[in-house]
Amino acid sequence: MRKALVLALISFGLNCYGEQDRLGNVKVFGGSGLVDRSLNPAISVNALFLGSYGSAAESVGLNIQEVEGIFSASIDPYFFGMVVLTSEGGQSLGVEEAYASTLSVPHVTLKAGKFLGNFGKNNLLHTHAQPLVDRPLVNRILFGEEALNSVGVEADLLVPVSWYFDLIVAAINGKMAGPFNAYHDESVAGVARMEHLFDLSDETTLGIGTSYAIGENEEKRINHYVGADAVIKYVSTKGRGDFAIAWTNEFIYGRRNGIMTGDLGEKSWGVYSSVVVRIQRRFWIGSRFDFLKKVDLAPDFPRTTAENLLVAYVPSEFSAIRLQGGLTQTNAHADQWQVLLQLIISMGSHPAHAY
Amino acid sequence: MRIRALLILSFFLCGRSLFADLKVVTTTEDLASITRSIGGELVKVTSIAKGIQDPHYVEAKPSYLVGLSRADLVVSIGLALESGWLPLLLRGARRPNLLMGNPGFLDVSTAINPIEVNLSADRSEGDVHPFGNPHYMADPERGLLVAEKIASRLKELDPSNSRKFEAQYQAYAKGLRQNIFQWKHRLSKFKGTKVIGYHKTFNYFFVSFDFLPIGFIEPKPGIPPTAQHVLSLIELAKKEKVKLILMENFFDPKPARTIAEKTGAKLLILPAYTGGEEKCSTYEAWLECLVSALEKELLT
Repeated sequence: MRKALVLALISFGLNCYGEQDRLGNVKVFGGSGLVDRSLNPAISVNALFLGSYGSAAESVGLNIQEVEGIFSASIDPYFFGMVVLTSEGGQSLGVEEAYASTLSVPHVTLKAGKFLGNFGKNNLLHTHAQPLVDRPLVNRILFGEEALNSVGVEADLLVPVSWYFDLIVAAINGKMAGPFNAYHDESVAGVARMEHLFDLSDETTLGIGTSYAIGENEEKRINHYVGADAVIKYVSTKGRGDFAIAWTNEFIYGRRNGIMTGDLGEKSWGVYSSVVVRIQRRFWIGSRFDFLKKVDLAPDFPRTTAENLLVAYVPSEFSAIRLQGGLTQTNAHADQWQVLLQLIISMGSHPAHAY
Repeated sequence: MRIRALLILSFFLCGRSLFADLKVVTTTEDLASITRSIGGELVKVTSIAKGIQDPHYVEAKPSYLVGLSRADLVVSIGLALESGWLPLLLRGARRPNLLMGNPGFLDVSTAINPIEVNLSADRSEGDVHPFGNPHYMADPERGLLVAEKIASRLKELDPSNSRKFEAQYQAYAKGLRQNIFQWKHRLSKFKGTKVIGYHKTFNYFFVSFDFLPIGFIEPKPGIPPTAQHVLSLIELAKKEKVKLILMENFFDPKPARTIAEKTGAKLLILPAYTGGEEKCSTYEAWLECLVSALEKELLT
């Protein structure tokens, strides 16, 4: 009876028909409903709303932080495709990522299109996947709000050794907002990364990585960025992994050569250390410490430290409410504090996040 | 000398795949146990999810890619159980033969008839599986169909050992059939027993052994229980004279204990998968754990 009902549902509700084989399996044939939909890309929409209040007048308000549409699917047996459209502040729609990556090449993934540069840990994260509400100071100041993100090609090799060892090199368009902003339209920037991950136990991993990026700036000189990162992560393997800790540390050094400074360059460096703890299935707490020094790229912040604390209520994988409080201190301005309240909703078939 | 050094280097870089037997990665310990029984010494099997772990929520650790990048076969439960992590790992493994539709990928749900198919489901119903409940390994008869499917694929991948795989499969299936006959006999006196579950993990077991689930501690799949829902279950359990609450050994037992205390029902906390307890380290041992625990609890 149940099988008959399933067959009837399939036949009438989805405009196709079903049959049972000798083992009682339901097989679905033809039609334009289920079959067509199953070939559609996985689609998800993330909407982030942000309320902010703080000592700086411009930081107060209720806003759409970002709306993000993600489409992904295997294109054919050879390529996988991903398109991420974003609208920051609910204004104009932009392409954050749009790329194809290979499925049929052994050992290496080749990627072409627009994508987030594989530099460090934070640069790869979309806004909704940030461990805290805002991005770390060093990423924001050195790479800008748009992050290291451009059109190009990338090769990602899984080195065949007994631990996880990933080597990535990319050549990207150097004319981008943020880290390079090349003078010449045809300028190409390079990004390289090496990453290792070790299982310390079934539950604990240690990941370490180093990154490098080089490209032309708007003064026809060269910018260099060097990064190093280390992550220790513990996720309970009991049940649904309701207890988890991620301790992330990232260092980025940038040197911007200019007409005035010559090849000695303007040097900036920064570091952040964040800890996020899942204390229960639905509750997270977190903190992040930021430090930034001699930031010639952003003269408003010559030496800056920031501390942020986070509490998050996560009813399911598809929604979260996060409250963050932070204090920023610089040697150029009075201290600034800020409170952020964020609502994240995610609809549809959201692809899995990388570890 | 140089050639010798190159050969030694390539031996290590290739992960010795030229000299090893079939390398199989399964998503759960249930599948790993069956594959080991059929493959014997001709296969090397590892499972991604541990028996104490809920396979819906496995983290896609990059270190899994090391094993997957050298695997000849990935065996998956399917029905979207692993959809949150397996596609990411399979693409990351950079081994085209393991991608869906290739000989190196086996979704064993194609061997069975799923229950609770709900193609019009949406997320307001919780963590639903539109193509059916994926916890079918709790039904040993479906486990037999899965074993046949795995044996068939091993024979395809390594035809030179086809006869050995067939012989080992026949021996395994014979033993499992005998066990099924005995398990059914031992639990036959409890047919129609009303039970409350936690998640829908044991629903295939209930169908196979004629238990009657009348409610679940999760109000919706994947959604933690509320006080109001627990109260409604207490009322239901009293009204329906429920004698047994059966839950997985990795969930918080507090709500189940409350219901048991208020209604007098017995609470049985059991491993949800093979390897969920030390004594349940094989598929048959896990099913024996379930049957013997139920038998003991319901006889007393």
